[in-house]
Amino acid sequence: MTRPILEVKDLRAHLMLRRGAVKAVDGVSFDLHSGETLGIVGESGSGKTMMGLSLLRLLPRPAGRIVGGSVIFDGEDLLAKSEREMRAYRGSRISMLLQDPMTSLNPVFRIGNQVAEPLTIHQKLAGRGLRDKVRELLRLVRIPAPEARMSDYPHQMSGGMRQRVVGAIGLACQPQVLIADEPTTALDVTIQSQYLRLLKEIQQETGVAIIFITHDLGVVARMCDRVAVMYAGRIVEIAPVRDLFNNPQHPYTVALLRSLPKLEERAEKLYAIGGQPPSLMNLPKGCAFTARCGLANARCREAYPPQIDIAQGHMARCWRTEEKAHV
Amino acid sequence: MSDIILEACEIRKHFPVSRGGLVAPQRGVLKAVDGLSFSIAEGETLGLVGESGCGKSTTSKLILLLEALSDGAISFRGKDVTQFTADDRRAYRRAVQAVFQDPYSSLSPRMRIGDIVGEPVRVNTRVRGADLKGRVRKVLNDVGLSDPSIPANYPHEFSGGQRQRIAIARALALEPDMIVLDEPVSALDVSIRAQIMNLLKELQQSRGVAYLLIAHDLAVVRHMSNRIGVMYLGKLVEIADSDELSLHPLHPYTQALYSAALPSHPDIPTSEIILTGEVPSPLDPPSGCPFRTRCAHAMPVCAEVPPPLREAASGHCVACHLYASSN
Amino acid sequence: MSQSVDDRSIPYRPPGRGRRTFALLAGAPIIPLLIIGLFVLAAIFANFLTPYSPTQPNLALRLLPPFWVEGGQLAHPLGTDLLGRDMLTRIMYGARVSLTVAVAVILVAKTIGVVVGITAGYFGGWVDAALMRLADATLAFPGILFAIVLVVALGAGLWNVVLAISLLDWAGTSRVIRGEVLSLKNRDFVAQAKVAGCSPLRIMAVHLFPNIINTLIVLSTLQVGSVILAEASLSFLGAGVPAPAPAWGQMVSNGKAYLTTAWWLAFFPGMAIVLVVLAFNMLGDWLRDVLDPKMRQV
Repeated sequence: MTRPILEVKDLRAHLMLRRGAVKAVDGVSFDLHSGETLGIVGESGSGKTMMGLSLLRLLPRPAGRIVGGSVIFDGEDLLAKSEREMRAYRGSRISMLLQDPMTSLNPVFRIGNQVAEPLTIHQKLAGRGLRDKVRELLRLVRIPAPEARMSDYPHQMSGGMRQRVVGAIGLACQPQVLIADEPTTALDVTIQSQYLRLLKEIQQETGVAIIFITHDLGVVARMCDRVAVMYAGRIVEIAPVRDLFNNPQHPYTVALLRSLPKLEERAEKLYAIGGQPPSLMNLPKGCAFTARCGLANARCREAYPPQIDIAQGHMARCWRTEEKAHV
Repeated sequence: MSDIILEACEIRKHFPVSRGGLVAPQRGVLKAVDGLSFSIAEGETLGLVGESGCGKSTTSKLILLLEALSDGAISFRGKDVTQFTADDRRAYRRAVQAVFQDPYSSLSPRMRIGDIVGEPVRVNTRVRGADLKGRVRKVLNDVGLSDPSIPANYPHEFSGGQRQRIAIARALALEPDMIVLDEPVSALDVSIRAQIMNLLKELQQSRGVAYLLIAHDLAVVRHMSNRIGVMYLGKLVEIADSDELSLHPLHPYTQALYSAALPSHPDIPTSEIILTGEVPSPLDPPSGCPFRTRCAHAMPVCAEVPPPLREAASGHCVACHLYASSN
Repeated sequence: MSQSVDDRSIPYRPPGRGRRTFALLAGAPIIPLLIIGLFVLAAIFANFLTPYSPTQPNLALRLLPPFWVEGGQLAHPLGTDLLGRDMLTRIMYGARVSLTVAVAVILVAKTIGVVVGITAGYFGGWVDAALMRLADATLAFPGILFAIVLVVALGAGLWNVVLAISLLDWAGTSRVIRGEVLSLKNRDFVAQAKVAGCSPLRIMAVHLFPNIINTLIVLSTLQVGSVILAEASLSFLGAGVPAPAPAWGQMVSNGKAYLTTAWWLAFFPGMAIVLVVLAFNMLGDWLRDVLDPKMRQV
């Protein structure tokens, strides 16, 4: 088994607000191998976006702060690097795609210039070489007539096109890891489908590892090799994608899968998880899901469950699962 | 056979647009809605799906009389809206209400919940004081917010799901015949969506209210609707019973749309129909059938004659020359 | 009822709402508030706070320097002016003029500005164009010049000064309020109000106005300073509130010729202007930070 390109151990990141500290990421651990796609699934308030930003040390300052853990990228601890050293990593070896293509691109610069930027910074390309590379990148993301499109401004392109440009910028320096934060949420169904297929193809060509942050289990089903489910700042279950869908263990994962309306059949009534996610400022002592869990017992309220191994590569943090495993 | 509450007949909304600069301005027309016909019966849910630029939000604004028709007619219980007297208009407002997509901008931040929910009643009836309060409390109870302290609070103290419930309560306060639901759950977390969808269905069963559901998520529309209409570039390309449409889509666009929908399980095979090209601009729609530029089955007649919406099977209408011979 | 009931879960009052308000107030800028408070008290209670008359001359005691300078007396801590009137007293009574003018102008100008701004923003089209051209024209006038002309034409007096300054001030407000309304009117709650059948007047008054109050408060506080300066400029140029009522600008003007000999004649009224304007500006800055919804949301 080759060494993972990214090893995250017990990552903790807090947002220091006037009212208190928000434990946005509260002990997250996972591995990522080259060429694989890991899905991070969670709802708003689960901490998934903060986790993605933490990996690149891009938490909003001054409130955001990484308070613990380690992020080992290709053998080096990113958390120990200086800001200057991090800048050399960002955009070249680890890259990020953000959610909203409208605001990811600068409206006053041509897209050719924007794609060229990481190349100029990290690879010091210029002149003809730069132009050629930009054209090649636009072709990589299947933008038709790249020579002409290079001089377009973002507002002259559709949402799907813009998101491809964002992809081109992210992939410009052939990163080893690409963090994609809900890149398709704002896209139409058919455009989303095209875009996801494109990412998959690029991954096959370049071997980039992708962390796909999303709330949409459909995206996970289509794109991911492994999935981590986040709830209240922690990973509550992690498994290969088929195992997660066929044999979900954590009650939250189970409930989430059951509450989705399916295109293939019409249910009379959907299973709905009652209540709301907890506030990240006032996390309960034990398991964060107890208030909404049908299986919660006294131990669940008392202590946070450790990692329970269910099968090869499949882990869940749930006391009830542990009991089942021991039965 | 239930009564028809609302009927839209060949409605059009064209926006005049001037492109180009000061030197050579071009006057164009944006055909947001271009010849749409449908009807809604008592107590039924009609779903309208389509991607961006198809005109579904403009349609909801036309139905709500927030925009004026460029052409065509909308009749409410047989009476044409352009013939409305002031009384008729008031009756229409009482009968047709709306719930919009964004729970964070649909409630005025500086009004208390009680005032927000009571506003439609206050504006349209003489109900005041204790009667009004009672009505507000009752309708809040119906949407699952029975805590008596709620009416005194402000929107920012509530979560997205709760705010959407408040918006639904406001829509119900006047006991309308129909509610226009414009993407009611797409801004909500996945686990909250099921709660709201169940609520909407329960309310329909207990009150007999009809819904015009506008959404882009095919599974949501399938779950909630009795009939579904598919829109493309301002026209209705197919309309049928919910189950019938999902299992036997006839129009090539509908087929592509359903095939592009994300699976609910990784093992569900995706026989995806790949659409070439981009959605044409509504400023310059293709002649004849608007979908022909991306359609694998395009024939010469498609460029010349726009296909009319014709019944291909019982209750199942398609606007496509492929089915013209089925008459 | 079933799982669609959603009663428990997050508290409707986030814990410590009272605590939050207290924390907000605890961060309030003490010094500006103290300064403003002192001047307001002086203005209101001037009669009780000082035994002297602000207008009655007392030639025997003219041009006394402040008490710490040789020749000064403790009985007249800031000295006396050309006619022997106590400086401190005149400054306190002068506060009346300045603050009254400020409050009056704010009330008048902001009211006009809000009405114009909301109407222009909500209706758009030619109404917006017409009103904004009017505002542009007003803004294009050389301010103080216009005010002087107006006062000269209408005659001197407190209320004419108020009118003159108000007519200059409303235009800026209306533009800002119009901008707010333009962004507010696209929000869904306005569409909802229309769907509910609200008349435009009701939408503007009940739905839009409460949402611009924050902006209004900040604007008002920040502009008090410039209003006071405007009044001071007018009275400096002799077009303000007429003598013998003390006004700070006028006092500075009178003391101008004596800067090298009786510096306190111009200095203390000048300081008063600086302190009050500065205090209001700092208060306005703090209010804007506190009332900014983006900061409050987290």
